[in-house]
Amino acid sequence: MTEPSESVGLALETHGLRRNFGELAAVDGVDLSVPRGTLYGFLGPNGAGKSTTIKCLTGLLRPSGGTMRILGIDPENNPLAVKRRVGVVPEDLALFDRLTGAETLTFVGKVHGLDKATLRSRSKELLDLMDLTAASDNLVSDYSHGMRKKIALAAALLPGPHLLFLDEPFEGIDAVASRQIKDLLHAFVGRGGTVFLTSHILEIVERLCSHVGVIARGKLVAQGSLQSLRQASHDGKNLEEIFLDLVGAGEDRIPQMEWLSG
Amino acid sequence: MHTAVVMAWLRWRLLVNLLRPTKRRDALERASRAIQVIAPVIFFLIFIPAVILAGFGGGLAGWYLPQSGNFHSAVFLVLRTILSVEFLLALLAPLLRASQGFTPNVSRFLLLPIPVRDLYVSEVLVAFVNPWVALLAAGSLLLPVGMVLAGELSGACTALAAAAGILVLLTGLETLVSTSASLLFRDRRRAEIATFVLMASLAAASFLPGLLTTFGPVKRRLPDEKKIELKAEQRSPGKSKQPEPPGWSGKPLPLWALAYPPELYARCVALSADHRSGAALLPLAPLLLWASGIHWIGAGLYRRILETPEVSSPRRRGRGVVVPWPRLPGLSDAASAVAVAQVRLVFRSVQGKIQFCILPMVILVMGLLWLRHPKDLAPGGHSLPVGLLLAVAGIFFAMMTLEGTLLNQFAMDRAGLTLEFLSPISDRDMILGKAAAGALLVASRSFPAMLVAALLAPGGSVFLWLSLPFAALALFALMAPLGAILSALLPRPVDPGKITKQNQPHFVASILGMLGNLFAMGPIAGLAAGAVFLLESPALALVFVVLWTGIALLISLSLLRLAERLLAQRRENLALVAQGR
Repeated sequence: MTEPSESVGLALETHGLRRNFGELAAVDGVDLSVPRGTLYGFLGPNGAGKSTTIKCLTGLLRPSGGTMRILGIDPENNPLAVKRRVGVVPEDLALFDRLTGAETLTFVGKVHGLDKATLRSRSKELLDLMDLTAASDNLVSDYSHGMRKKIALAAALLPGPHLLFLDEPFEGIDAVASRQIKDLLHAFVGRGGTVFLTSHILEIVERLCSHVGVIARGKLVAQGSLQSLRQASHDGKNLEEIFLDLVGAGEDRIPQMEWLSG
Repeated sequence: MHTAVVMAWLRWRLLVNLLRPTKRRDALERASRAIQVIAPVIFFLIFIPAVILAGFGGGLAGWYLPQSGNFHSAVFLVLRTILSVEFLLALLAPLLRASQGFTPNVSRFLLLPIPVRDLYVSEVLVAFVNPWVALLAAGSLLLPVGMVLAGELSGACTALAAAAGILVLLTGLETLVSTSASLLFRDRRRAEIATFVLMASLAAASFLPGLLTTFGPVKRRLPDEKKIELKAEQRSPGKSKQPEPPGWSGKPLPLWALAYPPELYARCVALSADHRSGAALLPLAPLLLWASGIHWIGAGLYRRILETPEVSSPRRRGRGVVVPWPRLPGLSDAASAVAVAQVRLVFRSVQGKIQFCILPMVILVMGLLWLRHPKDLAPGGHSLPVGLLLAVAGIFFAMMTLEGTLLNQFAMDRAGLTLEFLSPISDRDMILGKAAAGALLVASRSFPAMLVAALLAPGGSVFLWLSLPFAALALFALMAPLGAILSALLPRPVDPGKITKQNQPHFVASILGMLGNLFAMGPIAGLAAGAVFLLESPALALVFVVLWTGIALLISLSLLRLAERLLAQRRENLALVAQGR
């Protein structure tokens, strides 16, 4: 197993990452640089290539070109070493419908080789935190969307990953759980972990993330710390305005449908 | 009317879009999907001539019945049989469809500006698309046309009203049962219990005729009874073929017919054709009452299903945060976790439960039938080692019932497969874990079956009994890699909560799997038969089977490596298919 190089200050880097679906380049030469210990928001309009990028980074899709290093390891040469160090909450949540919440955590713990005591204490903490203890014996198929999201997040956190990939973690989550998850992610990053998340809720990203990358039509159009992006815009714009400028959805695209009179 | 047209258009588009290719599939996946779509297209092409034929049959019957002839009883026997089958289908088909997860999802229409009454009417009209209703509609509506051609105008009018009555009744009944099933099946746990009970009842009902024939009183026909009948026929030729006299239609309305609408229709048609249109009104009135009553109840239930929110069973209290998760000997943590997860998933599916419970029942019934008439099934009247043969059948059936799991072992995990792919599980651990799960499942199904066989008929050589577990192991050793290879090549998105088609592997994989099963059984059967019948030594049969098991395990190991490489190449596609894309 290749050990990650501790000298590298980046949790994740890609060079010219590409993924084609036939003629369509869903991800087109993306160069990502995610520093360790940061909360990195990966933004883009629908169909821009966010989920495809995450799938390439987590090994669910094979890139058509380019290179990647995750926690200093090449995931194409040593996928298992990367998977032992990262936690993922993908778009479809990746859960067995017919396992209970507790069984899902046990499955993940067993796959990661956690001993019984560690598995028990971590599961208890995570289920309590996610307010899922009472429902831990119910099948995941009986969970609400928010509960499914929370158990998927608990499963991603259970092995103690160094890097978390979260695809739309706040979608369908109530305000209380959302606050808990934000606190949890801050604590995770405070202890040296790295979070790479996608979200459509720009207010959350603005408050939560220290670094941002914006993808549009498969290409990375901006990347850096939030502060540097604000400085580059010169007008003290907020993230939403910067984002709209970057993806080309300005005021000229306001619809003129007069029949929408109310 | 507008709503009905919109609903018809919606269903048409859904059908057409099913055939459209999607960008995310590779060539193999597109070909495999196309093969699956061909079957309904062929069915549709056969269906149109069948409707025309049914209409022609109805018209011919309508033309024939008002005239004097010899076959009125025969025509009504056919009509009554068809009506009984239709009635049974209207009752059972929606229940079976619901047990497969096909309940009308009407709640999505609630957001549209469509009155509930219109939705109900369009739901009833959709029932006419069902093949059996369409066939009956063609036949029953053209029957009065035949009567008109035969000159029986008033009879044709009552027959037409009766046709409308029975069609409205059957479509209403189907909608009513379908709506009731929706109410019952919309909660997962309740649906699974109902499905299990329904399937177990149907399976038990299918055993009944065999058991009743075997254990019920047997009325044997005397050898010369047939000859006596033939002689009587020769003495008075044509006696039974006199044209039916007027009044052949019998009593206008026996009391029992009130409870059975198909008989009301049959009586009404018979009286109409028998030039007794006035008497035909007597069964027609209750038939129309039945139809209105069923629609009144059906519409009420339909409104209820739309107006009541989704319900769910009470949640179970959490018992603990870590559940027992045994580590299987000889396997890594990861492979063991994959195996245990797979076994749990199968045992939690309705199909898994049914297969586990029914296999010993099948062996028991087969054994009882066989022991009651041992010589019926033995060539030349020799006695056979019934217990051993039943045990062999148990192993074979256990392998066959495992098809759904073994031949679609990756895609059946659905989103869980993505979790496995995201976890640090190597291809080897994945393949070994799935194979171990398959072995546990075969053992869990074949062992109770063998036990039943042994208790029922314990005779036969001990060596042959001892060779059975080895035979099962050898068979599974060859099927496990074949299953993994076919699962990687021909994945099919399934729903473990449903039964039959919804939970079957790809049909090409099924055929290849069945052939594989037969080929894998060949050497075992050949070696055992050779030792017993040629060398007359059951002990040698045990030795041969043990040796073959060793060889099969070696072959299996090399084939599992091939499956491993294939899995590595197909991961991306498997993940997409498992997500239902």
